[in-house]
Amino acid sequence: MAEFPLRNIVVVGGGTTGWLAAATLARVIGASCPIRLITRASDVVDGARNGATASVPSLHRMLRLLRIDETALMRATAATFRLGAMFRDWTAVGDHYFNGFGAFGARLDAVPFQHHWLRHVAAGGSEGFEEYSMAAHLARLDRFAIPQSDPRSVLSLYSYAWHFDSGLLVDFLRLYALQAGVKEITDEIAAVTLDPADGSVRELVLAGGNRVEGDLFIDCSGAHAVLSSALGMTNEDWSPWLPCDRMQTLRTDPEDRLPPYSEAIADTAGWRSSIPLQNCAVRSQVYCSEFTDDDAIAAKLTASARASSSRDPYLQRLVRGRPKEFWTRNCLLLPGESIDPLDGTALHLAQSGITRFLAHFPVGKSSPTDVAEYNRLTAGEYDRLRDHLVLHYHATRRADSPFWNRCREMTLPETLRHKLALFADSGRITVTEEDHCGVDSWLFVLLGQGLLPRSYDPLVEAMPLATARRAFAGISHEMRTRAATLPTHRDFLRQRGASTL
Amino acid sequence: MNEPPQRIRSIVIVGGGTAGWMTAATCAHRLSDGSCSITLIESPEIGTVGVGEATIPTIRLFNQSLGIDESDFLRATQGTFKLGIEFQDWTRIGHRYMHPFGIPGLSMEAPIHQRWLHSRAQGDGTAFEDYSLNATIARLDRVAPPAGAAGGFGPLYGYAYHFDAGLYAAYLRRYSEARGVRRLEGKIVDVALRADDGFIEALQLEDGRRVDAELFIDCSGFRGVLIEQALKSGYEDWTHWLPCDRAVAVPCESAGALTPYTRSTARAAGWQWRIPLQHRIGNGYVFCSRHISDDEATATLLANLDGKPLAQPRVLRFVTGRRRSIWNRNCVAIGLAAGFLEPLESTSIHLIQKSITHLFNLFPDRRFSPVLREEFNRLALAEYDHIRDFVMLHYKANARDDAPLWKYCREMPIPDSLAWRLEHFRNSGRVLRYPADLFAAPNWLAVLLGQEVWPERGDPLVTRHDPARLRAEMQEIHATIQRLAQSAVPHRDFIERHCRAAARAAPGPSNRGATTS
Repeated sequence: MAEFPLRNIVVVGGGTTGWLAAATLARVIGASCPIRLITRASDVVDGARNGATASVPSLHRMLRLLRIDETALMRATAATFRLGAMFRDWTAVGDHYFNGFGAFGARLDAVPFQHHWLRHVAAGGSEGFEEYSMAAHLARLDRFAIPQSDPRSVLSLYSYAWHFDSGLLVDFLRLYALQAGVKEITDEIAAVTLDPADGSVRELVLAGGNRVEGDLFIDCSGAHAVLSSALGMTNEDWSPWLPCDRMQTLRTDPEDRLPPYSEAIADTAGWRSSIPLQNCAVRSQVYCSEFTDDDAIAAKLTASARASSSRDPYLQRLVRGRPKEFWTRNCLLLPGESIDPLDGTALHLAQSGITRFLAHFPVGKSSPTDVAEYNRLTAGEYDRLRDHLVLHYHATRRADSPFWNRCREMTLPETLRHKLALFADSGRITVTEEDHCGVDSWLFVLLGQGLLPRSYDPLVEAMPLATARRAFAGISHEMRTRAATLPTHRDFLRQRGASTL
Repeated sequence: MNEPPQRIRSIVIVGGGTAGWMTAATCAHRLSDGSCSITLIESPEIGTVGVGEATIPTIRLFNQSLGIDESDFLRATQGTFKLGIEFQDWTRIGHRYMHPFGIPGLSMEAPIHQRWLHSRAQGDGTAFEDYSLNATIARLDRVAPPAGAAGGFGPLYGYAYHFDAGLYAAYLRRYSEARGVRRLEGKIVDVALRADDGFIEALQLEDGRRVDAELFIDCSGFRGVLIEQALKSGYEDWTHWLPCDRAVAVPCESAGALTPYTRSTARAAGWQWRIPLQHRIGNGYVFCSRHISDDEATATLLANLDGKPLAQPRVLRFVTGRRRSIWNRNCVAIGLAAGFLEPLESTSIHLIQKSITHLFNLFPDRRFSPVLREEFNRLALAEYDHIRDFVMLHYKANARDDAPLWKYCREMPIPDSLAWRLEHFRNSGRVLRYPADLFAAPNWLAVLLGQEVWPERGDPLVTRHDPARLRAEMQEIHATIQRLAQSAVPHRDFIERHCRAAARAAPGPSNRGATTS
């Protein structure tokens, strides 16, 4: 048996990302390499306790890897299902659209569906694109069931993720990690000792006096940036593109409705969201501090909630950027936040960072090409997600506030400009296989926010318009009819054993 | 906003080789509502270069997209099955390895090469290709049974074809003409450009006819009658990276078993291909004219045939590289008019097909929006760059000491993209992936490991396992692959039963089921 290149791994930070990282590593390499996690006593009472975590469908892969049972997880975390997100007032006050997980329409021929739809609309068709999204149909009726695998059924044309109680999710992952052999150390980090020779992290000095040595450190301390700041890791600044720098969160009583999606409602200096959990709803205000102040936002948030909430809103600062490097020397940085809370990719980024780390696991004391590849791929993933987010802010007709004026007039990242130019010409979207956001996810935002191309793919005209329209009517009728046969989200959760409903 | 496109009403394709007829057939299929006239101009005086003959599995998608029946196509083109390529004498003289299609091991989820490397370090001498179902079946001169598209082996098994490219062009010509493509015989003597924007307006033929169109597709081969001679798009010469610049080709009679794979044998000044068809074997020697004369190359080729030559050897000249822009104004170049990469990995027809796919994904209207052109050039040119790197790897990673070409290649500077890929592999045995790479980890691994590029260290997630457990696991996988391969059927039998070409049956003795050395 070859010698394992790392004698131990130290994870710093006891939030979702830290415990997810520790749990995954313990599951995959636990027997070869002890894993310790250092958590501050306050990590678990920070905002996490108040918050909700929205996820995206890639999380299914993580559950399979960790062999986590979906029902058990949902029961432990007061989770609800998530078919996507409802956006209100983004393009103009009063507008709304649903960005659902899954396909836009169905395959008619070799030409992608959107071109057929654009032609239908150009020829006077009035049905919105959501008419051809199964997830949107279910969202409209607050209904849910697990998608089917038979590709001939319209019930195979959507996918789903979850909303979790953030605090309970941390508890769940912590328990999993501890059972898998992770050792937890609860203490503050007082100092970070670097190796004078190569600048790597040698040990952490804890407030209680203990020293923790490690061969590899994973910094999941979020905004505290305990290790990354000691190593001088810096961020690329995305504030020109991502306008919101703060978020306040408040847990409120459950709503009467239990929608299988989250909502993001644009406001004059940002947006507010509502995420349903089994026993409550979590409301947030995400905003730009240049255009409003924290007290006004806190007052708004409290007023929008039902009176029974006893807590004060919890305030967080948003990073608006990404690390220039994610892995340097013997320290891996898993930022643990979404690039912007709008898209619910915090868990996705954590998961993808951890699995990518396993795919580039250091082969020795140093593994320079693995580090470089890890950084190249991770930076690419962040940059592509950023573009998708920026589109939401930029593609607006709102002119009611300085905030939206700035968003509308911003200079776009070159990669996004290129993507939009291709769409604007003839409705085409190119993505690579590495893209988290597929063609349909781009289209839902583009069309949802009122962008139409100048024209569409001329090859659609190989199919007579009448034939295409019959297919359209069939798809929408089938989706509508089948949606009505599914249980409501609340009933489905009850069937799954959610006792709190 | 969102107005109907101003559809292109006429397309002229210049050149009637494989590229021309593949393009014409796709046009006929995708523009089937009759709104666009499609004309192909070919000159009977100008010979076609029978590119390819060997293909990669993507060809099946192309045929399927046109609704072509596999057996009918194989009958019409003297086609056979291809499960991979055998490389002989590339690593060093006397060595051979297979680059099979399909994936090695038994599952996509558990890549086998790190386990194989570790097992090898423990003294296990089983070749990497013995963990490939495709290679195992190929070595038995068998193909997977017809049940299901790929014999029920899923991604473990992949196949392409060998066929006569001239017959394939003729087959697609019938397909195209039956769907309304007009064929003109004629020689182009002048290309008329529009004064204001330099777009091609019309082609002047030798007999005085003038052919105009809105979109021109240049499939005229190396000369690039439209893309280069008329539009001066420029050419990036890659000879310093891939120094071979000529080929001599000759068909010969078949003898022995019908191998379901292409063979590439490295020679002092290049390499020789062997492509088994139903009625003959296609052969050629791709060489570097700085190191060998045409006559010597021809003599070497003729001395290394399975059977009697069936024609006069023909010498072709080429300059490896590609145009700087292959969609220029209202002209798109496809096939050899766009670029040339030697057929070491059988990618010529694939490159034609990918250019056609990109063109139809970004099909223009009469506005000829620059955005589409730029996107097409970005995507289509990247295909050439990627395949160049893969072909170069075969030359770069050699340990031959017999001839100056091999020493040059071993020491030559390589593109950064390939250098980084090699460095990463040498560091940890991992294969990186760039967006839109055609060749994925299984392909790179077959060649890297086949040519004995060894990583310095293995994946610790694999090497941490108990060697005894690993050995048992590897033996189990090997045994399973051996067992699965037994359900494959002899290649010749399968062809006889399902897709034998009519008149010209393969001469030579039948040698069913025998293995070749």
